Amino acid sequence: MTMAVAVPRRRGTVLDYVASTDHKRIGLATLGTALTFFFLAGALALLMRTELAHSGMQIVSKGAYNELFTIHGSTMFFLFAAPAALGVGIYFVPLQIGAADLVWPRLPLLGYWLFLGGGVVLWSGFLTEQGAADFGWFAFYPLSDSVNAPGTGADFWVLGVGLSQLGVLLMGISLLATIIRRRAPGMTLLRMPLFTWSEVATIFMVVTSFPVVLVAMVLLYVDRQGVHIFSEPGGAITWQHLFWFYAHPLVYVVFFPLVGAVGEVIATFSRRRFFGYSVTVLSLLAFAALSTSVWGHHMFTTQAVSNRFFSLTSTAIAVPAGIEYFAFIATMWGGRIRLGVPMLFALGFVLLFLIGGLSGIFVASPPLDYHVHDSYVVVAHFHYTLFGGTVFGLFTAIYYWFPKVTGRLLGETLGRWHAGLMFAGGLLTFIPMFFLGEEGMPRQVADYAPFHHWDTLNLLATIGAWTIFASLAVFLVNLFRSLLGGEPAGRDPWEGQTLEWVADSPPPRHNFDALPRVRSYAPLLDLRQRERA
Amino acid sequence: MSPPWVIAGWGAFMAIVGLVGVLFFDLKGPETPAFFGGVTGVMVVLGLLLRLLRLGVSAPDGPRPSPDLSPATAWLGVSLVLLATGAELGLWLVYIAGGMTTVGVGGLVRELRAERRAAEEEA
Repeated sequence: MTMAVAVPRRRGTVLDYVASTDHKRIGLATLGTALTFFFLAGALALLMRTELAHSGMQIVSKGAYNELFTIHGSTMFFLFAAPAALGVGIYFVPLQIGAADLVWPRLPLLGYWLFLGGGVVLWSGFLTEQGAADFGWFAFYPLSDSVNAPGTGADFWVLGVGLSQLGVLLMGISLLATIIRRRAPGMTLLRMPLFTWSEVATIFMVVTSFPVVLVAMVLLYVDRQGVHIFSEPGGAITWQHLFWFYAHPLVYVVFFPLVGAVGEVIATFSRRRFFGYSVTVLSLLAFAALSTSVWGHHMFTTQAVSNRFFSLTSTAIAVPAGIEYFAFIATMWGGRIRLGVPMLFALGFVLLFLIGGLSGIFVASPPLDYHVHDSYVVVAHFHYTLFGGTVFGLFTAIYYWFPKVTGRLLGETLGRWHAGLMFAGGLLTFIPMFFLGEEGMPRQVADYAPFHHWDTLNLLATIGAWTIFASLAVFLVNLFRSLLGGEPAGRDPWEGQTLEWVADSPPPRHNFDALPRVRSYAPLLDLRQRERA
Repeated sequence: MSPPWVIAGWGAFMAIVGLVGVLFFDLKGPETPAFFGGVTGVMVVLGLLLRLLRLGVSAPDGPRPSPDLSPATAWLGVSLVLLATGAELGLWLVYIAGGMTTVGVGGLVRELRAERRAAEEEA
C-alpha cells in the first residue's frame, strides 16, 4: 500500500472542496453534481410527461418540448449517468484495491471541473435568445446544422457535450492507471472485486469511444461555423457513425459499473461468495467488447451499414449478459438472503434491467427494428436499461456504500418506501410505452390526436412518472434525516467482503492504517471464515 | 494474467469481431473496419507499451508526496471551460481565459516542482 506523507488534518475550507486531490472528495463531488443533474433532467421529464398526459397542448409549446427532450436526454446521459458511473469508481476503486490514492490525482480533479463546466454551458442554452438545443440528444445531421438549429444554445450544447465527456475521459484514465499500478500486495487481477472489474471494462469502453465524440463535437462545431464537413455527400451518415460509435458504448458505460456493485451487494446480502467469479469477469470484458461492436444497430434503417453483421453482434450480447444473470441467481441460490434496502434495489435492478435486455434482443433484429424504429417501443426499451440499470444500480450502490461514506446508515423504513415506490413507478411509467409504441405512437412528439385513443396509456405513464418523483422525494428526506442524525454504521455494517470495509467510516485521507492479507476476491469473507473455523 | 495482456487481449478480441465483419459480411463503407482497426490498434499498442516500459505491474509501495490540494488544477479546469466558451461568446473571453490558462499552467508547474523537491527531501 502507498505510504503517504502525513498531513495534519484541519477543518475544511472552500479550497478543500473545490481543489482537493483526495479521490473521495472528487468522487463525492462528481456523484453529487451528477445527482443534481439527474434531478434537473428528471424535472424536465416530469414536464414532458405532464404535457403528454392528455392529447392537446397544455403546458409547453412544441418548440419548448423539443428543447425539453433534447436537454433531458443529453443531461441524463452526458451529465448524470456517465459521470456518476465513473464517480462511484473514483471513490471506491482505490478503497477496494487497497490503494491510498489515485494515480495522477490531478486528472480526475481537472475532469470534474470540465464536467461541471460542460454541464453549466450545456444548460446555459436555456438562457439564450433562441433557447436550448432542440435536435435530440443524438444531434442527427442536418437537424443539428447551423441552418436547422441556429443560435447559441445549440453551440452551447456542442461545447457542453465535448467538455463534459473530456472530463469523464480524464477520470477514466486516472482510474485505469490506479487499477494497474496501485493494487495492494496480494491483490492480483483475479482477486480484484467484481465492482473494480466492472470499472475496468467500463474504462476500456471510455478510452476507446470517448475520444471519438470529442472529434465529432469539434467537427460539428466547425461545421456550424460554415465550414462544410458533414454537409458533404454522406456526411450525415458519417455523423451517425461517429456519434453512435461513442454513444452505444456510452449506454453500457452508464450501467456497467453498477452491474459490479449489484453483484457485490447480492453476494454480501446472500452471505455467500460470488458465484462464477472468473467467468463473470471474462463475460464483463466480452460484454464491453461486444457493446463497442454494435453501434450500427442504431443505423439499421439508414441502409448504410451491414444489418446482418450488426444484428449478429447485437444479439451476441445476450450471451455475456446471460452469464451475469446466471451468476447473480446462482449466488443467491442457497444463500441466507437478507432483504435489506441495498438488496431490494439490487433485485429491482435485476428485474427491470431484464425487461430492458429482453426487449433489446427484439430491436437487435432488423425486421423488428424497422417496425418499431423511432416509436415508443424504443423509448420503453432504453428506459428499462437506463432506469433499471443505471438508476436502480446507482441507488443500490448509494444504499450499500452510504455508511462507508458518511459513517451513518440510511433509514431502513424510508429506504423500503423509496425502493417500492420507485419500482412501481418504473413499471407504471415505461410498460405503457411498449403498448403505445406498438400502436404506432412516435417518439419525440409533444402531442397526439385524440382519435388514436392513447390518452389512457399516456396518463398511466404520467402517473408513473409522478410516482418516481414521489420516491425521489422520499429518498431526499431519508438522505437529510440520515445525514443529520442517522444510526452510526461502524466500519462494516453489512459484513462486507471487500477491502473498503476495513477502512474507517468515513475513510481517512489515505484510507488504511493496515490491510489484511489478500488471498481471494473476498478477503474479508476469508477472514471471517478463518475466525469461525 | 497481467494488465498488459488483458488490455491487448481485449483489443485482439475486437480485431476478431471486426475480422468476422470484414470476411463474412458486406460492411458497406470504410467506417466500420476503420473503427474496429482503431480500437484494436489503441488497445494493442497500449498493452505493448505497458509491457515494454514495465508499467503493467502494481507498485503500491514507497512514499509518494502528493498535495492534498491543487488549486492550480481547479483553476485550469475553469479556464479551459471559459476558453472553450469564448469560441462562442467572443474573443474578449478567449483573451481572459487564455491568460487564466497561462496562470493555471504556471501554478501546476510550481506545484510539480514543489512535489519533486519534497520527494527528494523524503529520499
